[in-house]
Amino acid sequence: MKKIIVGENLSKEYGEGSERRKVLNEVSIKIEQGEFITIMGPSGCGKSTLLSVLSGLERPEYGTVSFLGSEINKMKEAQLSDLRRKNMGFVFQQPTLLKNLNLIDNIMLPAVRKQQTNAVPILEKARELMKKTGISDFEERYVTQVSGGQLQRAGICRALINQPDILFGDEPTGALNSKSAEEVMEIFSEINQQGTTVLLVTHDAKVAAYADKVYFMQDGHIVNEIEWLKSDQCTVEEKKDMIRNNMKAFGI
Amino acid sequence: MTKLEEEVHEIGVMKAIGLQHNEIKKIYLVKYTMLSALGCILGWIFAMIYSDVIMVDMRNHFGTSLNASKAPVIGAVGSIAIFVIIILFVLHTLSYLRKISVLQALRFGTLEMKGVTNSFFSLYKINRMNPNLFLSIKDILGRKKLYFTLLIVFLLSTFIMIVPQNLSDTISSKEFIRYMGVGKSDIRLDMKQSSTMSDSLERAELYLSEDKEVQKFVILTTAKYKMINKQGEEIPVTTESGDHQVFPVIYSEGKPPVRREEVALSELNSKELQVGIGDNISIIQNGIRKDFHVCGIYSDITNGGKTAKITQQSGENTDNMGSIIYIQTSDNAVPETVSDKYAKRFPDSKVSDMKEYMYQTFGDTMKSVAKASVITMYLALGIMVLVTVLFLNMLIAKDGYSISVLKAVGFSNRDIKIQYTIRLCLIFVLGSLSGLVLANTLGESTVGFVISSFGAGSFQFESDPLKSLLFSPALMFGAILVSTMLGTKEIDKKKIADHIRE
Ligand SMILES: Nc1ncnc2c1ncn2[C@@H]1O[C@H](COP(=O)(O)OP(=O)(O)OP(=O)(O)O)[C@@H](O)[C@H]1O
Ligand SMILES: [Mg+2]
Repeated sequence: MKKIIVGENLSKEYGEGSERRKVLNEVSIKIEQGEFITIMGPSGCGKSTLLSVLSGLERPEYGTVSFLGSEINKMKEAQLSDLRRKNMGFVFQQPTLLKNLNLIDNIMLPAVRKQQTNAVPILEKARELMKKTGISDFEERYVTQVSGGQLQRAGICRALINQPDILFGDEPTGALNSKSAEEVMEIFSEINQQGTTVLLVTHDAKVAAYADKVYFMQDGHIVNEIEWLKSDQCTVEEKKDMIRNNMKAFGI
Repeated sequence: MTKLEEEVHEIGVMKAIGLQHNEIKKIYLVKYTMLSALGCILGWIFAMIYSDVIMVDMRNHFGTSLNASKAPVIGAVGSIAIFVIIILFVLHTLSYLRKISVLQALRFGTLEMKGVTNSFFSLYKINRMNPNLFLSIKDILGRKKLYFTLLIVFLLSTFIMIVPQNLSDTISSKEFIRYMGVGKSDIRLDMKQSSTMSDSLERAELYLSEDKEVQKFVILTTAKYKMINKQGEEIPVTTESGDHQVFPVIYSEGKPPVRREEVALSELNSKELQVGIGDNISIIQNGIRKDFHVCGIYSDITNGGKTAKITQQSGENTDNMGSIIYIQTSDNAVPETVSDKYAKRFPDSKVSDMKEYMYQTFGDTMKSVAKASVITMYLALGIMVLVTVLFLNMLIAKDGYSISVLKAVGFSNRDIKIQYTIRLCLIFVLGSLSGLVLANTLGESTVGFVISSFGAGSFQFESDPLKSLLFSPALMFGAILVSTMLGTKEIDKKKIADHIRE
């Protein structure tokens, strides 16, 4: 399998003077195309930071990140934005939609780039995604006029509009009730089956059980990982148990 | 006011920790009252220093004087009016306080929750559109009030830049002489009354009519006649007689005198004598009383502004003061050389270039108005740059969240800067266009109103279109672009993670 992201010896520090401390401490991680990965760990251990560094939202102090073979630390800001737009999708815990645009405009926004762009295929794509995620009826609604779950789905649609190679999610179900969370995870699962790599940060064992691989973090280190091969044929319940046991073992 | 909206978040926190509406209101009211009071006082002091210069000059150069002691009072009233408007505006905005819910303020940090729905302008309904342009227009439509404030600033800056500039251009233009009760010509030849004058005049007339360098000329004779007002009193009036159609002055009403019994009066004169067009007036010429028909009223801001024009003088000329010959040179002749020629030819007369004449009588005023217009230009540009930079800083601070979102979905810093530039440019174009229109209508009539107190009624700007319509707006536009570049620097520093954290 081809590696989509390779992070090597990643270190990131925050704070000034004596307050300064390492949030990431020489973390190395390899992500292969088509994988479904979750990262777990106690609050403040550096999960979001790792995600930001891997996705090029932030630059590490030490170490390198390469995306499909090219080093992203060396890219210019404009190249990075291009990469984010074409190859990556982001879903955050709080839905990050623009409040002066309606849902469908929000979703289409990353795809409409040049004057010459013909919006019709983009519109069709957006409608297809909205149908898939069950928010077709809310095209013209604004951020304040739909529920959190619907908003999160719109966020997912936006992340997928450019058919990214990888989808990043930082606790994407964190603000949702368990039913919405489950529906959203089903969507992620389906996207993954269609070939998109998925990398999620979560606290929830139920969410983590959708993954092929779970990394456990503590104090800026990756301390453990579990991997299930397709041939293992574990049930979801068995996966959950394994995750919960690991969580206990590391005091999460 | 925009500042206040930025503080909505802060207000939300205050509410969350349990402060009452009225307490919060008081805090902000005090803050903004102090700020605007300071601003108005500074503005007033500045206006005083500045208006003094012009006032003194005006007094020196037109017999009439505006009551200069009134100026500080007018300035103060203006400042107080602005102050009151600002306070009313603050109060109005503060009345929104009640409507800010803790949740909304904390979550979105802005007042504009509703009214964002201009669904007709939507990305998916428009087939092809640059997304940066789309987002810019969408933002302007969604925050009309905010951008309207900026538009007003641009409008006022344009106004205070263009009006003095047009005024300065007008009074230094060749046409302006026509407001001075003198027709537009190139050379003026003054002959003092003397025993030899009629001889010299005849010689001059003959010579002029044969000179190829002269396109046209007219001889006007000046005399001090007495006019009789409604009360029967005799008032001496400097009167020019001759053909007034050759180099016409500006008539606010009626036309130049053509027939023997017609007379045109200057504005101030007609006011003083209380006669208008169609009225009759008696003039005593060389001791003989004659009735004249008033056919025109013209602008004259020289000689105290009280003059008259008739077609012919009476036979004798005991009241005569002298004659003036106005000359327009032919197209290919150089007025300066022609004027030198006449100075040599007629040594007993005073020959002056019209430009020179204008400059002698009016030069200092022209200079100080020009100086004032340069100062206001810098002032206006300064205000524009300052407001643009501050506005952008405020906007970018406020838009931190949307900027992060845009960056996260792949808009580059450059894209986002372009968006802010588009917004400011759109507002600038609208603002300065309205400013230009306003300067040429309201500005013109206001200046006209002031000038009419000196005796020129139908005042019109005589501006250089290249300067006022192209050069100055281009200068302002440049200033806006530079300040936009400065103001949007902040965007580079914005990190996505600053605003989007789980
Ligand atoms: N911009 C920043 N400046 C200073 N410290 C920061 C900054 N961002 C994160 N930190 C610190 O870095 C550490 C790791 O943060 P991070 O957000 O990666 O944690 P996390 O694992 O995602 O936690 P959670 O599960 O609560 O989201 C925390 O201690 C946090 O306080
Ligand atoms: Mg986190």
